[in-house]
This record gives sequence, C-alpha cells and structure tokens, in this order.
Amino acid sequence: MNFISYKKSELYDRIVDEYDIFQNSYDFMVFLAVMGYQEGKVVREGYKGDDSAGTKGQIGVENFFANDLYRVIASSIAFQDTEDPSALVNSELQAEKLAQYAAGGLEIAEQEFGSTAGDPTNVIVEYIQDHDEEDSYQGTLGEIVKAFDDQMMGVEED
Amino acid sequence: MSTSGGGGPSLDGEELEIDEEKLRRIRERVLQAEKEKLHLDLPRGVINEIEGIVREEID
Amino acid sequence: MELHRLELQNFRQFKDDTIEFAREKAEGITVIHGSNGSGKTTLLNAFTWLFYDEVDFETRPDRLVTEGTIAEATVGKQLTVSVRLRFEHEETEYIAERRAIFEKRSEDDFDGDLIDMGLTLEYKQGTSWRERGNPENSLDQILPERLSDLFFFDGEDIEELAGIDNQERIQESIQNIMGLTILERSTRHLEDAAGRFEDEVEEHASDELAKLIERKREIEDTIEELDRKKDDTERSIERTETEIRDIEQKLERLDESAALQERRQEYREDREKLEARVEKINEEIKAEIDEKGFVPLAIPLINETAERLDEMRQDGVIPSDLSNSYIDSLLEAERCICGRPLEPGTEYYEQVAAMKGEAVAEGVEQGAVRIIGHLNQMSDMESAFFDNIDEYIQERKRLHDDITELTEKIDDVGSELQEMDQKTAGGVSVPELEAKRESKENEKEELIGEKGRIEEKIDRNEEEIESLKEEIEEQRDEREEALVAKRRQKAAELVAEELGTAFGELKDKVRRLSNEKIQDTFGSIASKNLTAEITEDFELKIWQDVGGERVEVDKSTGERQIASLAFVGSLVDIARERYEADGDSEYFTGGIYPLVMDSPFGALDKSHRREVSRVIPELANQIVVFATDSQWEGPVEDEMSPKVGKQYWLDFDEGNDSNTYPRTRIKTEPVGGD
Repeated sequence: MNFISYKKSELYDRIVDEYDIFQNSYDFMVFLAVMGYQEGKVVREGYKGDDSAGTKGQIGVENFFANDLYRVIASSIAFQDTEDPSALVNSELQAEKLAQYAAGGLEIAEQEFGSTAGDPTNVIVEYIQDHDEEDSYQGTLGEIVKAFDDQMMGVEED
Repeated sequence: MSTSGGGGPSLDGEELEIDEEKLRRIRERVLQAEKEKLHLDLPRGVINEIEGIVREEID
Repeated sequence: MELHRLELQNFRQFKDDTIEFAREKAEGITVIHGSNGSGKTTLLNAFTWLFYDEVDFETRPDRLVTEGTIAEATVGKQLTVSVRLRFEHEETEYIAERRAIFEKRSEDDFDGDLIDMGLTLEYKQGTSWRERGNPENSLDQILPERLSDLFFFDGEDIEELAGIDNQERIQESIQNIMGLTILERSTRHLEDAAGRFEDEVEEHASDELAKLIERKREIEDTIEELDRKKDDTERSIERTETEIRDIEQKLERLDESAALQERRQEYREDREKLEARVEKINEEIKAEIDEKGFVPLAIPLINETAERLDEMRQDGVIPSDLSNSYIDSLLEAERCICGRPLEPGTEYYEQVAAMKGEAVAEGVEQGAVRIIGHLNQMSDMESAFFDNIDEYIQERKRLHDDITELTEKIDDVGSELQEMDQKTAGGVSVPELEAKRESKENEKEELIGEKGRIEEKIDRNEEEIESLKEEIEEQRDEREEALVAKRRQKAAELVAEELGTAFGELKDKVRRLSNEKIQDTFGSIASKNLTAEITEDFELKIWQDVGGERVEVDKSTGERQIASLAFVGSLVDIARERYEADGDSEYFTGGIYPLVMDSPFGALDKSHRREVSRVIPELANQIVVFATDSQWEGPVEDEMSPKVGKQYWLDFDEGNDSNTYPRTRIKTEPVGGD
C-alpha cells in the first residue's frame, strides 16, 4: 500500500498543467474528493483510473499523509462513508474512499468547469463561494471542541 | 490748357493744344450718343459716331 | 416706375386675369399667395415677356397659349396671347402691351404657330393717349434689361449675388443702376476712336513721324505682352502659394499625427502594466485556490465528522482509551467496535490486526482529536481564503476598469489618426515634405523676382512711350492732314481720360454708398455680429467679428439671401435718392423701381424669414412678393401684414384632361381649405 491511485481525466491536465490552478494533481484530487462528498457523489467502480488509457494518477502515501489537513480530510471521508471509527486509523481504507469520492467529484467538476472555454479559475472561485455553507459550526462545533478538549485533557495532540 | 480762340490748326504749335470748350462739347456729345445706344448690347455704330463727333469738332 | 395694373390673357395658365398693385408707400406691398406650381413663376415671366420678350419656363417653354383656349379652338383659328401693364414713370402714365398671335395648326396642336408678335407702348399726354415710336427702346430706357434680374428676381437665384465669382455681376449692377455704363463705354469707345485717328496720322505722316508712331505701336504691343506675362506670373505665384499652404497643412497634420502616436504609445504601455498586474492577481487567486480552496468545501465534512464522533463517544462506541489490549480482545472476541463479526483470514480481520502497532499507537481517539484540532485552523483558513479572494477580485475589477478606460482612449486616438491619414496623402515622410516646401519657396522667390523684372521692363517701356509721345507731338514737318489727325487723336484721348477717371471715382463712390446702406440693412437684421461689404474688388463678402478679428464667413443660405437683398436694396435706395436729388447731370438720373420677388423666403429658416420680412418693406416703395402658404404664415405674416396693401391668391385647377385644362385664377379671397 504505497500509492493512492485515483482516476484522472483531461480536466486534470487543463486545471493542473495548462492553467496552473493547482500545483499537483493530487491537490486537485483532494479538492474533487471534498466536492464529491459535499454533493454526495461517489464512484465505487473504476475509480482508480486506467493505466493504459492514461487516466491513472498516483501519489505516494507517505507524501500524501505528510500533509496534515489532507490526512484529516481523508480520515473524515473514510469515517463518514463507513460509519466506522476505525476508519480514522485505516490509511488503506482512506486512500480508497478518497479516490472514490474524487472520482465522483470529477464528474461534477466536468459539468461545472469542464465546459468553460479558457481559464476556469473564476468559475471555480464562484463554485466555492456558492457552496460555502454558512458557518454554523461555531455554535455546535464550539461545544464539541470544548467537550473534547475537556475530555482530552492530558492527551497529546498531534 | 487754353489758347487762341481761332478754329484752325496751327502749323507751328509747340504743343498740341485743344480748346477746353471743344473738349467739353465732344464729351457731352459722346455721352449723349452712348446714352441713346445704351439699350443695345453691341453698339457697333457708336464708335463711328464718336469718330464723327471728334472730326466735326476738330477741324 | 410704379406698377398699376397687370392684365393677362391666354398667357400660360392665366386665361383672363388682372392684378391691381398696391401703391401707397405705407402699404406698398402686394402679396400673391400660391403654392408651388400654381403660377407664381409664370407671373414673373409675364413681366419679362412683356418688357424683353424673354421667358424662363421649366416646362414647355414654347407653349405660351393657355391650354384650354387652344384646346377649345377650331383648327385654323387664331388666338391672341397678351400681357398688358399699366404703370407710371417719371410722372407719365403708360400702357405697355405685348401681343402674340398663334394659329392652331391641327386638332392636337397645343403650341400653336406664331403668326405675329408686337409690342406697343402708349403714354398719356393731357387727356389723350399717344403711341411711342420705338417701344422696345423706350421700355428699355425705363427699365433696362440689364437691370431686370435685379428687380424681377427669383428668390432662389438672387442669393447667387453673394456667391463667389460674382464680382462682375455686382460691378455691372452698380454701373447699370447709376448709368455708369455710359461712362464705361464712352471711355472705351473714345480710345478706339483715338486708335483710328492714330492710324490716320501714320498714313499722312512724314517718314520720321511714321517711324516714331510705328515704334510707339511696337512698344505698346510689347507692353501688352509683358502685361500678359505678368498676369501669368502672378497666377503662378498664387498657385505656388497655395501649394505651399497645402504642404504646410500636411506637415502640421504629420506633427499632430506624431504627437498622437506618442500619446497612444504611452497609453499602451500603461495598459500593459495594468494587464501585468491583473495577471499577477490571477496567479494569487490560483495560489489561494491551491492552498485553501478545498477548505470551505471541507468544513461541513469535518463538522459532520466531529459531530458524529461526538455522538459515538457519548454512546460509548468509541472507548476513551482504545489500546492494544482492547484490540486483542476484540480479535479474540471476533468482533470489532462497530459490531461486525471478525473472521480470521478475512481482509477485515487483518486490518483490525494491523491496528496494532504504530497505527494503533495513535489511536482512533487521537485521530478524532486531530480532526477536531484542525477545525480552528481550517476556519481561519476559510476566512483568509474568502477575504483574500474578495480583495483580489476587487482590485482586479478596478484594474479592469482602468484598462477599459485606457482602451477607449487608445481607440479614440486611433480614430483620430485614421481621420488624419485620410486627409494627408499617405506615405509621404516629413523630410520629403520639407524638401518639397523648400523647393516651392524657391520657386516662389524666383517667380517674384521675375515679376519684378517684368514690371521693370514695363516701366521702362512706358517711359519710352512717354518720351516717344513727346517726340511725336513735337514733330514739325508734317502735313496738315497728319496734324489734324493728331489733334483729333489727342482730343479723343483727353476726353477718354477724363471720363475714365470720373468713371473710376463714381464707381467707387457708389460702392461705398452701397456699402453704407448694406451695413445698415444687414446690421439691423443679421445676427451674430456679422457685417456685409462690397470690397474694392466688388466682391460681396460677409464678415464675422471673432475675438476682435475680422474673419470671412462661409455664408449660410440665410445670410447670403439677406446680403443679396441688402445689396439690391442699397441700389434701389441709391437710385431713388439720385432721382429725388437735384442733379445737374441727366446721365445719373437713377430712378424709382419696384421690386418683384418670387419666393424670397424659400430657403430660409424661421428666424431669417423674420429678418428678411423686416427688410423687404424698406427696400423699395412698391413691392410685389410671391409666397406659398407655409412661407407666409408665421413670422413673415407678422412682420409684413401691416404694410400689405393688396393680396391675391392663385387658385390652381389641374384640370382632368378630358374637358378641363390646367388653369389658374387670380382671386382676391383666400382659396378654400384654409
């Protein structure tokens, strides 16, 4: 389990290479995964891409999970998808779910930004602005954070 | 420019002098002739007439 | 001359009609209302036909007889066309009548064959009428033909007076009005006669004298030729000056063009800088998306996860302290936290087993903590993301606005340049133009030099002629015939000189008189501080005062019309003054003339119409004006009504070809439909 495999498409080339919106393909992949989760779109088959068709993307696990935030996201997605807390520590599972949701997000992205002629940066910005749910997390989250903090007193935070 | 009252030309005149009165008459007659022919666009005969007037007056 | 009554019979569309003219000075205007085509121009032509046998009809100029009359006539019948005018001139009453007899040649002959034409002029002496022997002559003396288009004028034509190249016409008008033509002709003809006498002298002269005379003639020819050359040179100088002006204009435009191009280049550079900044902003935006774009979208995910984990924790599904031993026990119990059975050998079993070791050391608990712990960070990132994006977008918008403004400026300059290109001959460079100008300047210098040389030659030749003349005069040994001829020649020349001088002086005097009156008239009506003037070269010019300087204006139709009317008015005035004054010369009698005007308002706008209407009544004692309804109503009616003595309306009936023919009736009441 050294790599996370995910499905790439022409959109990746455009967004990552041509227009330099994301630095790396896997950065875009995470974005797509989050999109897919938010819209509830997930692809369970063929989500790894096809090497011969040139639609396979890979990122080394160590590299990937070195990014804290990405780790958090991967864990959360995996957990939400399985409802299993052990998903929080199961990196293989996380890789799988990440790719699945990324594949789902890719389909949405094709619709939303795929047909834009030229640089889709502005469309992407608009998409993010439109889908930003008003933050009510301050309320509930604040409580949870507080509660956990209380609970976790003494436990090392990563 | 005045001189003798005599009518004839003087053969040994130092200058050509013409009687003032004659000039006036010529002038009036010429103007009259022109006036009569005023309405014509091409008053051919009038030059002859004028020539005649001058001849008459200067004998 | 004062018009009394005009009677028309079978004259074009006027079968049998009469007009009595207004005569009181205070109400001396006769107005004839008629739409276009109803017969106004025909009435004007009635005058010129009567006086000079001249007509100017647009349609069917040869058809004089009223169509209805000739249509009703039998073949072979003779029809009379007649225009009869009763008028007064120099205290004598006159009746002038021109008659033309036409014969109808065939059933469809509408022109008729002219059998006879005659003009009669009767005048009243005491109580009886006598006939003038030479009616054409007499009429022409009363109202000379060369004056006719001043007094019977077509409103549309008269504005030409103030147009370009009409100096001759103006000079003629001045000459004619004052009887100056007599002077002009006398001078010329006397010189011709003098020439004839000189021929005689030559004929009878001694050889010596003859030689002198011949020499004089030669020199005169030379002078004539030199004069011609001088004229040519002057024209060339003018032409060269025009060419120089053209070049200077082109250079100016090139300068302007260069300045504009420089400005445009600056704008372009500025725009490039702005565009670069926009590029930079776009890159920043992308960087934001890359770094933080996913965060806003991920926060709900994290939220929900945190909430769910919390629930699970409360339900006790996540033990507070999940340790390796717990996992062992799980494995032994073959169940996982979520309650699923664990089968050894299954992938799942292996996974849970793998939780032991490093991954497990972290613990799910710690996984959850990690998630919660990042929430604050993520929330900060989200805020930063949106704030930054907003800022970038705003600045980008400002830059775009500035860029648009610059683009507009660039486009404007581009259009200006294009326009200039069209006016300048494309492709000629500044150095080329400068070179051209210099060469033209040199050319001009040369020409001026040449003109000077020619003038010197003329002077020398004229000097020679003077001395020759003296010599000729002093020749003693001449025969009597020669002497007589000499005297005659001299007499003619002297009188010519005197008349010529008087002519020049009078012409200028009238010009100045006319000027005064024109300025009065023009000044009182024309707006915008304009003045009109007849220059020394007899051009009618209109000037405008622009910031203290006098600038010639391109005359609008309105101004031209007014200037021309003012000019005509001034002449009429002068003529009348001369007539009324006690003059000793019967040659400058002047006269009193009526003005007959066809549509003087046609081309004018409302305010000019008002102004012209104020002027017209002052122009002459008796005035006849033709106008259409639309020209009359409004300002014209306002201004002129108080002075109108008589009004007529032309009632035009087109006829219907089968039994009625075109015909105009002159009515004293407005025609129906008012």
